Amino acid sequence: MNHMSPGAPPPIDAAASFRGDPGAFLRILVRGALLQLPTFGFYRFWLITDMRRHLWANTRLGEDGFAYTGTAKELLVGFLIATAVLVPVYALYAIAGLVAETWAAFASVPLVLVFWVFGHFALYRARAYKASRTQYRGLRLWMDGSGLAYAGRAMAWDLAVVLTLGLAYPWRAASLERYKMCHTRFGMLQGGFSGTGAVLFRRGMLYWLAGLAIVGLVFVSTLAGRGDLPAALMAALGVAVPSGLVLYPLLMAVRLRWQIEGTHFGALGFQSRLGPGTVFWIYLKAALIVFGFFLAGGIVAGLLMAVFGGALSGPATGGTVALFGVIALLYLALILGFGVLKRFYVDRAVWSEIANTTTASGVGVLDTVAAAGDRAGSLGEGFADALDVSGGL
Amino acid sequence: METGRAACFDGRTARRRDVTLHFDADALRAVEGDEEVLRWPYDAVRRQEAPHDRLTIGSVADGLARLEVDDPATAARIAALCPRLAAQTEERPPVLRILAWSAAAVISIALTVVYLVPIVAQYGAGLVPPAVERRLGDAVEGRVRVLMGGRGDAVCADPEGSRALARLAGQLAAAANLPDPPRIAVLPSRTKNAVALPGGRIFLLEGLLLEARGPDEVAGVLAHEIGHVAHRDGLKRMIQVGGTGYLLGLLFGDVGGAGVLVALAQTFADTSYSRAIEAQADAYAAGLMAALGRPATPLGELMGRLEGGDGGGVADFLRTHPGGRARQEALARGPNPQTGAPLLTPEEWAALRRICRATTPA
Repeated sequence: MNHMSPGAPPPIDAAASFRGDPGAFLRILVRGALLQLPTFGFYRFWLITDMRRHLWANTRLGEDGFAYTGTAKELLVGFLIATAVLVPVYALYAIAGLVAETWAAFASVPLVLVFWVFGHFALYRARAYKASRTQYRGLRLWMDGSGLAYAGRAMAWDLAVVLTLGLAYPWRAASLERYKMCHTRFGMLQGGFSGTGAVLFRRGMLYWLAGLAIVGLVFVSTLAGRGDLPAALMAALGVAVPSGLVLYPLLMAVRLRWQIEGTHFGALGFQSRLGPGTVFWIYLKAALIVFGFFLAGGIVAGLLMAVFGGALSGPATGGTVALFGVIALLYLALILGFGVLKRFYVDRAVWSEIANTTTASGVGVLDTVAAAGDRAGSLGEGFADALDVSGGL
Repeated sequence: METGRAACFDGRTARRRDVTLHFDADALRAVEGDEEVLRWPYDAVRRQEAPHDRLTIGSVADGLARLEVDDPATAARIAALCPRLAAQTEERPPVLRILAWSAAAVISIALTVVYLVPIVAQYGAGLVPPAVERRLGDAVEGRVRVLMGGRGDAVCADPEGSRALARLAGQLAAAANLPDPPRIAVLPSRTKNAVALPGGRIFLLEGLLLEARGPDEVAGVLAHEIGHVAHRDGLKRMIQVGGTGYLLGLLFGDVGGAGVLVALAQTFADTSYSRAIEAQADAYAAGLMAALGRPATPLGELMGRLEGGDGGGVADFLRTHPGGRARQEALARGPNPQTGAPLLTPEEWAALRRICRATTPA
């Protein structure tokens, strides 16, 4: 990454940091989870807004903090409009599905592709919304560019990734990131992205090869020891799943660091010390906590069944219905609890780690940046929500 | 204290300006050198969310401009002068209003599902031309074959059995006198079931055919399914299930795992629909059999044997058909004449039961 003159590292003149109060964030999450139930999920707009406000406000670059200026009402309106727009789309989709089914049963399944286009479009527009609600030093980030052009690009790259069995992924990431950053501005300051697919490929390859080596080793040794091909395949698959789970956080860390280091706004560039090990521990810790949580939930459910399970085989009574209600509530509580834990131990932890390992150079350029850009609509985020593709924070 | 110090971002550039704050009679004024950077009426000033070691304020009328105050005394002075400083941060989510509106949305959708969607299905079905209805039936036909446990691509076609089926179907169709005669076929599946699709396509599964103890039982089943065709129940069900699923999907949005609840709710919703509809189809079958001079009680006996006659428990709650015994009793109250000739000869009946010895591709 260093194309600077030899012996002169880029001057670090501002460090990013996250200093959020864990208790405050946890309160936001728990309160949100509890209110999701009686509001049938409608509270999510307020929850996500509160989360973003907290994360943005406690993140600083140098002396100055970020601020999130979006409102839950905007998200709600965006969602409602998106829903209204999707009514005829759903209807057309259903009719197209029926016509396709006349030719062959289940022929309509590929029509999911329509929503694939919509999903990419929605993610791009949702990013534009979030950017334009991000305020720093009295100016806002904003994006132009076309969500449809982005969706076209993303789909072509998705296809390339599938055709190359995943090898094209680094170049896909570089191309899409370039498109997004080249259409992102801070006031008048044009963003850009200098990361390349080759660099990401080189950095990720080590882990990728390590994973392949482990799986290959198990496969070969089982084959040599037992001389049984199906058994060797099963053993390899048995190792592939856990090594995939181990590799995911490592590769994600590599990708994030590469993404931060490639991002720049004019002369303002970023450096990252994000270590794969740290991200790995974040995920491991979260996985253990979630495991414990589900174990506890399972024990409660088991006890309930043991005590009241007999009622299920009897005739339908108010008690049966009540038991069904309790089971449904327990199920929802587990899902919501999982959401809280995941957001706290993964999303917040990764966010914090990213912020605390990032530094910026060339901050001086900010003193001359003039304001520009306007707020993007929340329709994109509404689409993402309605289609269940929301990119989280 | 007449003035204070603050860092100012004026919203026009990203440059940090060190300003002097003047506390005028009605407004907060920020001055850098000789230049007045901004002037905010006190009641427009709001606290902005920021780390707690400093006071960050903005103005409702001035977009993104911010003042950051580190000095506690200055911060206290601002807090004393600005009556609505906390208005924005104190404005916690309006929980009660959100709760109330969510409840309203849920009630509205529930009422729509329970009362409006059946009405729409009832009258909407009348607006669908028969050609379109047939097309809809063809569209789901392939999937239904697979879901019914058949091989998906074969129809029973033993020549003698087919002749017997054609004779039975012909008598029923003549009595029913529908604009389009129902198209009846037997599928090679051990499942004990029969189904009518929109547009008059009726599938009888081999399992049910073998379970039946006489032609009147099979005729009763087919008459029941012809009742569904005559009432356009398949079409209505498609409209209703589609509408219900869509509305519930809207309602639950993306609460994690709500798909399970949606499916459960849909089963409950469909059950009440089906109970009334099945009773009507039974009544139609009784009428049709009576027109042929045959009793409908064998249909009731077949149903009673199939469902084991038990009428309680959770399984019954979730079942899309009313209990066998209740239907049996309803059918026993019908005319049930014995005046007509048997619908099939013993030889034809034996041939019909062997119809799946040969199959042809659908």
